[in-house]
Amino acid sequence: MSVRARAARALRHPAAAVRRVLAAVARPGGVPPRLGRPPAPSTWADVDPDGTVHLHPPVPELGQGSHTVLAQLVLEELGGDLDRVVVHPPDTARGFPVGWLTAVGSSTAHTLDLPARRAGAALREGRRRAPALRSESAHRLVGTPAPRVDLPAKTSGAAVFTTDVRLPGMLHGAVATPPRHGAVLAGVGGLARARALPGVHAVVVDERTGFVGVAAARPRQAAAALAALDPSWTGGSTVGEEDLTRAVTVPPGGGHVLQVRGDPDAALAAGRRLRAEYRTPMVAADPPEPPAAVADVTPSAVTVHASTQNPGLLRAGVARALHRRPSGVRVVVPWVGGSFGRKHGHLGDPAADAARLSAATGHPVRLAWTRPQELQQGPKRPPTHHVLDAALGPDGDLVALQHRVASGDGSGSWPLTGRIARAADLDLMAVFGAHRSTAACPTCARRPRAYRCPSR
Amino acid sequence: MGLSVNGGRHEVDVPADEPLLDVLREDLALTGTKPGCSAGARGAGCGACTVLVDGGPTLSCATAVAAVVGRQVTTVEGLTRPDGRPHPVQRAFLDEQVAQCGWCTPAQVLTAVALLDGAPSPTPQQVRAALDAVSCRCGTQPRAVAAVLRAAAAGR
Repeated sequence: MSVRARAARALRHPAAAVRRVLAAVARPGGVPPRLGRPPAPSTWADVDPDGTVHLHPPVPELGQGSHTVLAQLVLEELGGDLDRVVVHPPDTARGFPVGWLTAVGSSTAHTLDLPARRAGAALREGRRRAPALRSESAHRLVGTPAPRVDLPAKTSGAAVFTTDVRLPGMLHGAVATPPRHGAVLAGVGGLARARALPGVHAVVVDERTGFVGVAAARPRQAAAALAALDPSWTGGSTVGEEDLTRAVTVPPGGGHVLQVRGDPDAALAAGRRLRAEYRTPMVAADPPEPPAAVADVTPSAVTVHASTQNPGLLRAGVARALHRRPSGVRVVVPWVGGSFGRKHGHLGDPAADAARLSAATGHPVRLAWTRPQELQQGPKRPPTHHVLDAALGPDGDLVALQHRVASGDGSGSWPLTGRIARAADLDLMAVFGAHRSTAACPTCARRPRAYRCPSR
Repeated sequence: MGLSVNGGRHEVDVPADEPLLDVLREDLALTGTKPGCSAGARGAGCGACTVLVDGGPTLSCATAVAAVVGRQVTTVEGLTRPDGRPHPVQRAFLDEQVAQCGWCTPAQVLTAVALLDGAPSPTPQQVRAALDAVSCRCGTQPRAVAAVLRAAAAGR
């Protein structure tokens, strides 16, 4: 079934869709989800005559150590030591199968375990089809502590993050973001004033899409040009903590029942009742490296360096903004300065904006959000509210457990499951939590239940 | 105007009030110094842009370039020894495997270098107080403290 058809079905039957996702990825033991079978080939490696191993990982390194794990997996079959490995940034020009693999949910090592080991085995044997893999008992690297392959460069200051990428003729971009959530651009004043400022190459306004951007020779000149503009915005809303608490609250009844085991109502009525209630606030992931991209758009080629967890989604967004085919967009992902889920969505991603400014000026453009922009406009993890009801039997054992969870729309931070999450207006990770908390009592009558709350 | 950075002389043609951060990163290509909070000037710095000016930790995003004329600026790139060996503090950061995303690591290292210059045998409390100036989102603080104490012990 196509993604579109799946999304349509999810819209009609949100509870069933959530249950299906739960069945697919939420394992009671807390094992991170595996993102299915990656497209082959996913992991590229080659060896120089002097024995240096070049690894081209298919997923970004966000700081979690995934590139070191992938190097260990390749070397487990290929042989050799970690200090002979050079890890290159994921790059669509080097076989990186963009569009499917993302760095999310602690899934990288789990998902790429077999592909990485097969790449190492194929290199060892010099054959296209991978020979049999070594047995786990023969492993010497996997599962052992290892020095991180990225730390020498990160400690010396030589590590190149997207924000550090410098291209010849590169300009610095800045974009206006609305002052209220959902506000729409009504008009922009001060265009002539901004264009006359020193170093300014372009002031780009597109009222249809609400785009207001500038490109200048230096970062401060771009900031000054943006400050000289006077955009006016209409509509939108300012949401405060009290509004969120009101909106995200477990109601007395209803909700999507995710699973029923036993007879929770009878068990709850018969036993000694306990109730616990928890709230988590809305969370800004606030990565240390603000979202950033360097775009180089020419009539014949597009290259985007981007600080992202999700290169495929990013590439699609850039292609859409430029009216080009995704396959014509090269994506490179240098070291990512933290992400924490923030850089997984298309919301608030500067890559397409950088590409528009590059197309408008004929220069490469680096665009990074400021911290205030990130804190105000960056996608947030939705707040959650949990009400747990339990019953104790005569011996004090837990005999019934009901976990009701209310959450907002998590699609901003979790677009992997976003189509389904949007359909149900649920933060799927919060739903997984409710599922796991009840599954932790296998002998109980239990019922996890989720409530959708409006996202805006 | 003439700048002394990492022991070398550099001529830059920029406005006097240009942020030192931008001059280091864009004009001198020293990108180990990171932008972070955009708020250092308001006294609420995240510390990612920390450099040493005459040995003292300084927020380069909130320092006009003219203010460092005639003074010695050290960035993380200036710590590595001429033969390519890491500075003892960098060595300790590698031994303790401190960094995760690595964005704030150069600022942590420079802050530690300044601390050990003034207090070669700091207490853990002193180390924690000094590193408090650099925000780390990944949670590397315990290993960073261990690395600074390790570097102090190695220097004795």
